[in-house]
Amino acid sequence: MPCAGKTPGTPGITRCGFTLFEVAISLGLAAFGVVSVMMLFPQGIKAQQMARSRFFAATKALEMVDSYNSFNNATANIDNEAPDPWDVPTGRCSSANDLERRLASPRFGIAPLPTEIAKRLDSDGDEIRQILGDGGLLYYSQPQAAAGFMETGTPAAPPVEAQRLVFAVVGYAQDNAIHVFPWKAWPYYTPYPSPPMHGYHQYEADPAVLQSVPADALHYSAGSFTVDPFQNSRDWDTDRMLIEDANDPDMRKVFTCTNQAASAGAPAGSVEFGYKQHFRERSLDSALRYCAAALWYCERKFPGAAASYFLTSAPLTTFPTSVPQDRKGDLVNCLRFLSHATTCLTAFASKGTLDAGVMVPQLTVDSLTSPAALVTTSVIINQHESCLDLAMLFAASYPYDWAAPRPENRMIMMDHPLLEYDLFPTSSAPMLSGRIWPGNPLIPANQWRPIAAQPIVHIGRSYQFPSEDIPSANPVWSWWGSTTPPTPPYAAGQPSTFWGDPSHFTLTNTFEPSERCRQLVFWAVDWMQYEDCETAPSAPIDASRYTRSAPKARAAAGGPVDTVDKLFDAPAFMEWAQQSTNRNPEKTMIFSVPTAGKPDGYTGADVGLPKTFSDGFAWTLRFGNDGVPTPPTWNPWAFGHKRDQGMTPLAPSDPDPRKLFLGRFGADRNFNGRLDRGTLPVSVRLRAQTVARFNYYDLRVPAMIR
Amino acid sequence: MRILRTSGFTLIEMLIAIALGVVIITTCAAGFRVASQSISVANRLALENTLMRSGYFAAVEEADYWESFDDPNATPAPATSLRGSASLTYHGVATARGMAFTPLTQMGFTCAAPTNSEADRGWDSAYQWPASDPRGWYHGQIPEFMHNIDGKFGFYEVFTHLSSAPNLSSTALVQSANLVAYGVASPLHTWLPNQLEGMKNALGYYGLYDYFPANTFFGYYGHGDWGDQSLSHEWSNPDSPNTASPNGSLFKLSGFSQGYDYSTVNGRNNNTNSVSFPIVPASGFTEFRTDTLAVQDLVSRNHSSWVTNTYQAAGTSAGVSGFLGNALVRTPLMTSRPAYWPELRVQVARYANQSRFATLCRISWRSPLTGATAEAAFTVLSTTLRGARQQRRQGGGWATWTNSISDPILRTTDATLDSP
Repeated sequence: MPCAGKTPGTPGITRCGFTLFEVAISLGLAAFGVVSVMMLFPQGIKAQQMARSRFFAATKALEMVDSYNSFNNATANIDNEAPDPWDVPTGRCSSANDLERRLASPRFGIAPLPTEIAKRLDSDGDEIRQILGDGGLLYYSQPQAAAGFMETGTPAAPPVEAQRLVFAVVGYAQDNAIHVFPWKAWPYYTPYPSPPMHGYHQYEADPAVLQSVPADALHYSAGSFTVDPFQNSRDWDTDRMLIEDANDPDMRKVFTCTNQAASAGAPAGSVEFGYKQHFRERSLDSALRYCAAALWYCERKFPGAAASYFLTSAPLTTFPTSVPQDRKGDLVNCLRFLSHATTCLTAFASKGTLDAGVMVPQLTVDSLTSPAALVTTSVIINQHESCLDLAMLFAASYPYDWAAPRPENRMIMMDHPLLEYDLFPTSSAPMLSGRIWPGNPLIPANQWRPIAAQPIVHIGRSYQFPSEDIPSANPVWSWWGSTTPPTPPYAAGQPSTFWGDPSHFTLTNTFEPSERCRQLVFWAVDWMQYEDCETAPSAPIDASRYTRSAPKARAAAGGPVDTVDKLFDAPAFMEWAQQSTNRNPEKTMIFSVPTAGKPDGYTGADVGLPKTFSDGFAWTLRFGNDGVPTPPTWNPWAFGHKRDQGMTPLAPSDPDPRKLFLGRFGADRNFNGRLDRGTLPVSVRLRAQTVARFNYYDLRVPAMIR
Repeated sequence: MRILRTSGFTLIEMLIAIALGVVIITTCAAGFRVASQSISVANRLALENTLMRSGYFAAVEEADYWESFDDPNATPAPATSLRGSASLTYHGVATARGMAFTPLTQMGFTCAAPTNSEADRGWDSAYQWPASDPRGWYHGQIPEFMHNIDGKFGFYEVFTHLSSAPNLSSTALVQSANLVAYGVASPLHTWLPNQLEGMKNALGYYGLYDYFPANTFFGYYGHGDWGDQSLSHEWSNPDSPNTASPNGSLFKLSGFSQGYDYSTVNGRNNNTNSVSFPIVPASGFTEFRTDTLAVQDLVSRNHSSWVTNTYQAAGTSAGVSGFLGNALVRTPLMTSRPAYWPELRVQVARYANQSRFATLCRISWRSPLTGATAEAAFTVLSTTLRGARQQRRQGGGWATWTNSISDPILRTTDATLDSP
């Protein structure tokens, strides 16, 4: 703005002022300043939105850690034993104790984000892509809290902002302890005192197909033997079998036997002794014969020791020093049977009679005669006390000695031995390999070798496959139930080559906190704006979540189970609890038929959307009293516990159960009871903004905390 | 000749100036409008976030301190809330029963001088329940049915019983013709049955589950359909009477409802698999206004269960509806806030379900931006009931717990709700 030498009002003098250029520059600067200030305003909003997302992330993380640590981690009531680990779901990763595997279910409130959608999300450092590339999944939150209520009543609910979050677990999953040892689902629990373990064996015990059950196996049908409280099954199961004699044939004499010599006035071979006859007859005589069989077993295991161990004047509180280490389990079993037998006397003799004592008849079997014994009230009480004292001591002291089942009367963590898989096979001890049963079609399978913290002694045989050694060295079972044995059968394993390298056992190693921590990462992204947010298929599901049976000889109907497909059609009875660890995590929301052609906002039940409760009550975990216009609903596909399992639809009009299991038709992912489509085409990529990260302690051993 | 030129803007200058002025004013106006809107939105978001955080902290605080269920600083002293007791009659037997925050001294269920023997009675809060103590083992016949007693395996009442001298002379219960009257027994193990019965009566069902070890069998011999000679009815009968909804099922401690094959003693998992055992507070912020209930009714509801885990009952008032109406405390925060401030509520329910002690929190607020109700619902790890009771002094107020370098264990000299 130069005006030197000029005087205003004089001729030839020009006025001073801003040039147009100067004004333009000034305006430009002013505009820059204004725009800069304006640009700060959205940042403020963005910061508030980020804070909001962090709030939802924090609440979700709290809930996940709560659920992970406090929900029941019991194994689902599916078949969990087989001669080979790949033949039952529990031998695979469906029961792994990783946070995301435990919680990915409707009951625990998270579900995998459909992979088709997850692949469209960008993130800082391409973290999402890396997770997906490593085989991980993104998850989204269900709108309800993980209240633990029955998921079959899963309500419709309006979407909540928590669903705009996606999250994943980063950090490597750990080599967890084996939750269920598939060869033998130890610990076996039984009440103390009790008779030898026996129970439900519907298919394996069917006389028509007993190819692999020992020829002399004790099998019996229900008949007059109903409502046996000690059978490990319910009373609607029909076929039962003595199991525990697979580990010790002498136990069969406790269950049932006949006298080889005259006894109690009866000629040889004419009278039945043991538990089974007492269960039927229920008299003082039958109870005494049960006592005689139990005493015979005691004499068999500890000859001449009746007075020292079994007819004592005071309870045994510790193992007698004369009992060697590897016989302590035998002593526990002796007392278990004997105490159960002598306690039966209390119902058939008065206290006065028992105070004076009753004589137990002698029993001769296998050229061994049981000792004569006077059973009194004090003997009965001492045996009971000894039985529980030694059973508890044995279970707590020797978790790797499986000679005696664990007492149900007091379950403790020491009942569960530490087992893990050896992830480092060697050329001399490669991975276990074989074929999925029944070998039609032939499907190869592998599994890591197990390792125990200490050598397991008295491993015995399993409840479900009492004819098989562990590992299965018996080629017979592999063709059991089929018409033509596959060739070759399973490789014959030997116990010495079954286990992994003990030096690879790490569960009891010291560790740094960082070695056990994994991280929950939350991103904010409005993925529900995609047009296929509800029609995209579910994320891939681990095959072990598809319920199937352990190897069995034949189905109840439909002929022998000679193909893998038939195993899927005949799974074990499904309890509701099983649905939390099996099937599709989006199970309660899935559409049952293709939704193409259905309009946005469609609410028809024909695609599997919820339908109305008959009583008109608006059940919702949103608690219903805020005027939320939520229809009372339940999802029929959540309820139908047969619809999404097996290879064959239950009815011709039903959809293919495999497609339901896989969620091929999408799901009502915001639980609002209608089909929603967003506005964003699938060609658009969205950027997911990192919201929060939470470190958490990743358990290697299943546990619940309070 | 001098030419005088008048000073002034030319028309073109004026036009340009006016145009520039318009641009500036428009820009400024737009800027101010955007700024105003942004600030408004940001402020409202900030306010909403503050509400959410406040609700969150209130929920977590509640999870830790249980003040919606028992405010130790309430005036008058909280004797009329969950610290009360009443007599309930079941199967003809009237028993004094308390609730979750009833002092154990009030129920006469404390053990001032424990001897660690079967003869001890009352609760010893210092007892650690070692797994090696035979007192804590279940000495009964685990698979025994309550409704199907026939004695074929003998009477385990000779080993364990609520009474120290049960009379086992009844033959009315038996199905076998061969049974004989045993007479009066002298069971060695009477401590556990009395602990179970005493705690159930003292604190209600939730308290019972909270206080006992996870491996407990809930049941004992005594108080049965046949007097001394069967399992206790309240503990083992799955078909206990269902009172009118929404009060849940009174005296239904055994969670199953599927017939006699479950009428055995059960562990916590079985008992809580189908039903939930909530703490029903005496609160004016429950849907059913449980603060208006007579003490006896309130005690009854704390000895009840609600079906939450079957789809049939999900929508019934005897199920989830009744459960939430009784158990969910919907505490409004900032009740004295300015009228233009949005509403904020924190809702908490505590219950035992599927072997888990759930603390269900829900924060709901009215959005200042949209006016719609928004919410966040989650469960959270929280203080146990036992911990909460030991936070409180018997006469009201908070107990003081201290530790030191030389004694790192927290200790209190105050008499808590568990103290003798």
